[in-house]
Amino acid sequence: MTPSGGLWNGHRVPFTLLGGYLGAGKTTVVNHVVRNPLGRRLVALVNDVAAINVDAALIADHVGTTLSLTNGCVCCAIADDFAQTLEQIRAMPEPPDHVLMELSGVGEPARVAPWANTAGFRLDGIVVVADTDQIVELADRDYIGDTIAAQLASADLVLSTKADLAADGGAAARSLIRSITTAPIIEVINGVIDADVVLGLDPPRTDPSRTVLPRMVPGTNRHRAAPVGRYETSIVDVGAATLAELEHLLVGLPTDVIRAKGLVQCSDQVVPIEAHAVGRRRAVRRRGDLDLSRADNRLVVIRLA
Amino acid sequence: MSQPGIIHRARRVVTLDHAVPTAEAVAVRDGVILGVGSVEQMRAAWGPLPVDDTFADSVLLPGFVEAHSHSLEGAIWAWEYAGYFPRLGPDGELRKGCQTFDELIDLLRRLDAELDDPTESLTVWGFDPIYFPGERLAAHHLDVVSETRPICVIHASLHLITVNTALMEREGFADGCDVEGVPVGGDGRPIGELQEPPAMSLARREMLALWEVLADPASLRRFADMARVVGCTTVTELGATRLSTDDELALWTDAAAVDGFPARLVALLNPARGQPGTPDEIAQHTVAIRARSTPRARFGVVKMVLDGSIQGFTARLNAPGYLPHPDGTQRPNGIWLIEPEQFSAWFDAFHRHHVTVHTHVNGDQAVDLLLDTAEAAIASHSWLDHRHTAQHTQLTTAAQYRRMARLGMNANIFSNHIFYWGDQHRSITVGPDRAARMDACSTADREGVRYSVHSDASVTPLGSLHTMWCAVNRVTASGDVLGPDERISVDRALRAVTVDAAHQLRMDHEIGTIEAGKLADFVALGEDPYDVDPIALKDIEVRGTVVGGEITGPPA
Repeated sequence: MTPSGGLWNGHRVPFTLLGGYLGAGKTTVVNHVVRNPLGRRLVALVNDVAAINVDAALIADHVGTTLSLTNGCVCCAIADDFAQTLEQIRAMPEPPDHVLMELSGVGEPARVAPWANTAGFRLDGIVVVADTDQIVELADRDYIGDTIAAQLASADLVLSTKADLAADGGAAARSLIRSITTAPIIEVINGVIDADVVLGLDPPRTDPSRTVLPRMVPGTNRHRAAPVGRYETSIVDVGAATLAELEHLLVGLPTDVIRAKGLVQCSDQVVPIEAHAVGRRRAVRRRGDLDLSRADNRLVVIRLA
Repeated sequence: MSQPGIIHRARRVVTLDHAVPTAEAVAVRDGVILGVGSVEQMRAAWGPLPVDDTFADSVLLPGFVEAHSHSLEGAIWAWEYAGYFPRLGPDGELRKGCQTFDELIDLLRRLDAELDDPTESLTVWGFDPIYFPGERLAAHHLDVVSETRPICVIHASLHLITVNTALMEREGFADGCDVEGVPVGGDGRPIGELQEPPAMSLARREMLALWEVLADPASLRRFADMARVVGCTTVTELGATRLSTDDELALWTDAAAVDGFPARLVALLNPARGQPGTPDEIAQHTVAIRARSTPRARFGVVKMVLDGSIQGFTARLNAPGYLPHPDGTQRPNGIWLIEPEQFSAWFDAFHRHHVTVHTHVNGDQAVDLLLDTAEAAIASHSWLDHRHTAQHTQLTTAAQYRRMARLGMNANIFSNHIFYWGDQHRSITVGPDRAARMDACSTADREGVRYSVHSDASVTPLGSLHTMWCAVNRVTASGDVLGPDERISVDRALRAVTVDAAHQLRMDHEIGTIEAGKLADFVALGEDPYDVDPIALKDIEVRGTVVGGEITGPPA
């Protein structure tokens, strides 16, 4: 069906949830992504705008609990409740390219997910940050152990931070996470992570230069030479698949796929079909709002290297 | 400016002051009680004051104090009531409610005809599908009223709305959408029901209006009017609004400064509601805003929320947890709303700055976390009269009440749950044994914890007589008695909704009993609660209230 009327004339902004306990490194990830949004006009909803740490030169405006950056990104404090917070975004005349919401330390992403898939927004995926050095103890701690497990169980992707600090190189943390979820685990050092990993390849890339990974990200600190994660990109040609075949192909992608995205003209469909993977999450969607000519029948796939 | 004073003669004055439990009259000057006794005694002591016989045929008690409510109870009356049961409005008039779909449609047609702007949406509230088991309210029912005007029916639970096709078309989802909580009919199109807040937010303008009305002074006036109707002279806002800026504080003080404002409002600060600053700064802010308090708008106490609700399966429970799903699968534990470390940092700062903390704890595991946190704060800083209070405290065990007593803490027990959800707690959430000791007033007494009982309005309707009735009788909606051993006496329940409620708000030196020197806040009842059959407590007529010596009246 063709969307008509309503907010942004039916356009829905991809919405990523970022979970993880206090101290896991969520803010560090947000800080990195808003500094290096790779061309997106990102809205980052955060618990504490004061924790957003960017160069003064990057700040365009700071009004109340909203920080606007010169690169087009906006950081807003999550105020009072989700309904009011999301209305602040819906009040924008032009939709942003993406929304990233940082949950509280006890936020359970699976329970919050319906908010990411309502008026104006489409759930992209759930990314959970786990502190390599802390997660094993947290998962066994009084009161919150089951919350930590629920966060990991809901993750489409796990970002494992501070692996360089763990005495065992992160083996115990990996073992714990693996006992809870099959989601890909990406090791993150100093919060340096490619925005395409956290936020996906949305909208589907038409500029091939944007799909060449891995690459160096312009760093702002002494770790500028660090490779951006350990992953590689490939292109999968879908050909003339039916919708069922496309779904089969998507579900059959290996478990180490971090992200996959593509717009496909299925042989049995009249509207383009978007194929979307975020780690464990695999979905196809009818995109009647996009022109069929944009379908290039290939998936851009980012995998763990 | 001193007034001459007045003597209110009553059928009986029930003071709840042990020294003078009953009297014929109460003398008042400048909003303060001069004394209680016979008219002769009062005149002998205070001179030839005039005698007012407004309450000559009524029983005067200390005005009821609702220590856990929300101003939404007043805000929601911005729209017309469409519930099943007749309900008193803030104007004191009885709404007859809608017992059939036809009556709902008639109500909507009448309201539709009153609106001039054809695009203005029409909202009603209080619809309860539980009483219409045969048919499900859907867009097609509402489309009969208007195919152009958006219509929104808010259900009693506040977790569901039903909207018409015009509203779905305005928001662009009349043909379908992939949002969770939007059921579709046989034709694949949404039937008009939007379940839970994420789906409800599809009705953007109507949900936004609900938030906007909370910041409307008229809502606070209706809240106070509602209090007057049910005999409360002090009502509370337990932290659902923000108290950060001057404007946010002025909303309360300005509304309550209007002549004849018929109740005292106590607004608690919730640090999780976007209150900026470190824990110390927030505690200092809370202390500072006490100076902004006025006689009828009070600040300076804090509220935090640790877990969710039992009926929503989001309260944090200790083993053995919730009963399984009907299909036998185990339900997960509920949710935390604050990290234990953040809760501890806030609690400790408030305690050190001598700010009383009220904490929402429905489940017994949340109570454990509160007690652990409070114990650490209390051990590290000596403040004997802290009055920290466990709110709702529905599944609190005897062992936890013993700990609470040793720590000098108070409880505010959600007795209304027995009536409204007791049957569900017995059969669906926790089973008959734990349901029988839910909201355990008698256990709290036995273990030495001072407590109030509350409505959590608008979660359940405001009304201290009804809340007392719940604690005294423990009768469920189906008519069963749930946990008869936890029933309390009328005297105990009366103290719970007056002086003990005032105590946990740090106002028991001002209100809660009728005695010399306290504020002249009274409720006038048609019967003496000590004289009626306890099962008739909720049916006692409320004839009026006095706040600060002024007889309150209905809204102009």
